[in-house]
Amino acid sequence: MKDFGFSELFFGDSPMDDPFDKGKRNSALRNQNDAALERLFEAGIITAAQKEDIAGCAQERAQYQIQKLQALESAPSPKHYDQLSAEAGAWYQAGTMASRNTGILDYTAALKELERLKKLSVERTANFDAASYSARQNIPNRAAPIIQLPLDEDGSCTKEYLLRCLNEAGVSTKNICVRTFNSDYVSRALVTGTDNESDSPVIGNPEKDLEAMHAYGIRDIARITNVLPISDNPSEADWSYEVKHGNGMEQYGNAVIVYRSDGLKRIEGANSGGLYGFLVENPLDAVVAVFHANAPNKTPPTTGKHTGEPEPPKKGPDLPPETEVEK
Amino acid sequence: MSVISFQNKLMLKSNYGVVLCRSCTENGEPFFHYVMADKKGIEQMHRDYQSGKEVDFFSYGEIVLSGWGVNPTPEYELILNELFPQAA
Repeated sequence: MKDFGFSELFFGDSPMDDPFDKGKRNSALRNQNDAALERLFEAGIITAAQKEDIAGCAQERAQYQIQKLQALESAPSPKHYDQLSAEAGAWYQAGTMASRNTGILDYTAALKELERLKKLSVERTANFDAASYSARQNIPNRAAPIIQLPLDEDGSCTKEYLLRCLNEAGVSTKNICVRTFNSDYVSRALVTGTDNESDSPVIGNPEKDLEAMHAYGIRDIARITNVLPISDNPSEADWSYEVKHGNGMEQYGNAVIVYRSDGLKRIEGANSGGLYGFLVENPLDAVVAVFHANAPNKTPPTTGKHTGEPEPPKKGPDLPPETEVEK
Repeated sequence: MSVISFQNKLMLKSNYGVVLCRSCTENGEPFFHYVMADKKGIEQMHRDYQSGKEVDFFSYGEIVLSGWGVNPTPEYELILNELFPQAA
């Protein structure tokens, strides 16, 4: 069984102890927290009201507050308490979300994992291969791989251009569908990769997507559009409207998510408009393609006029000793 | 006239400096180069900036990093700090 650190922390080493048993874990935490709170109260660090207040919190949040209070035992003050309570609240909220999205119960570990996945989301790869990329980066199979592509020379993205890019990147373009996204939103899709319709960033209904997005503090500049079949039922007019000219591509978004249409599963009773009524069976079948107006491989020219004063130098490697500054 | 401060002159006494230079293409697309140059190169940059003439950034020294946009993203700073740990 995978050990996330809970077994040793709360349940000892017994193989019978199941760190995923939420009730058992809460009960152990409550006992531990109550004892710690009593000690803090007796030491005069917290008042009876504060003790009650913390004891009434969810146990993980209480534990976090207690740990912080214990750490400050040598110099406690009401100001510290208020500050720590606010910190603990923020940590708890973020931890809840991270835990849900990563499937890791330990909030601290979940937050770390989320951070790691966020870093992966910005990784650039020219020679993209979904399977080996995922294996190499140890991406959980819930997360969609990403590919960064340059926009066409005229700054657009036509169907042919996208297909060529995906082909060159080794991505199968048989029966694929496309959805446009804002890049911020794609980052979140990559991080969570959830397959749950209710809070899915990869797929789902736009209202719920936006709600989830707001919950993450992402501004509502994203435009979510319908899925576009591009090989099984190609429609040039739709394609050029959706991707080349808009619904986000130029003004709001710079990314598309490409799905294998044979991996889409219709949701029973769901809205059948566009993508809303479908789920991606395996998020790895979805490729997030992020377009850059300035292609990563297109380097800026080496000539031009200075448009700003050169910034004060940062210290670099040592020069030969003969280099001297004029007096 | 050089606009390099005395403090920066001291920093450069026996070292190259890595300088962020901003420019833009004919189409108005902004870009930047981090140029590693010696004292003379850096002073030349400032003179060129003041004169407003077209320059070749390679002439100052070595271009260690380049990118598009007016300001580099924090990612560039990280790369730079990795390249030159003592600059951090």
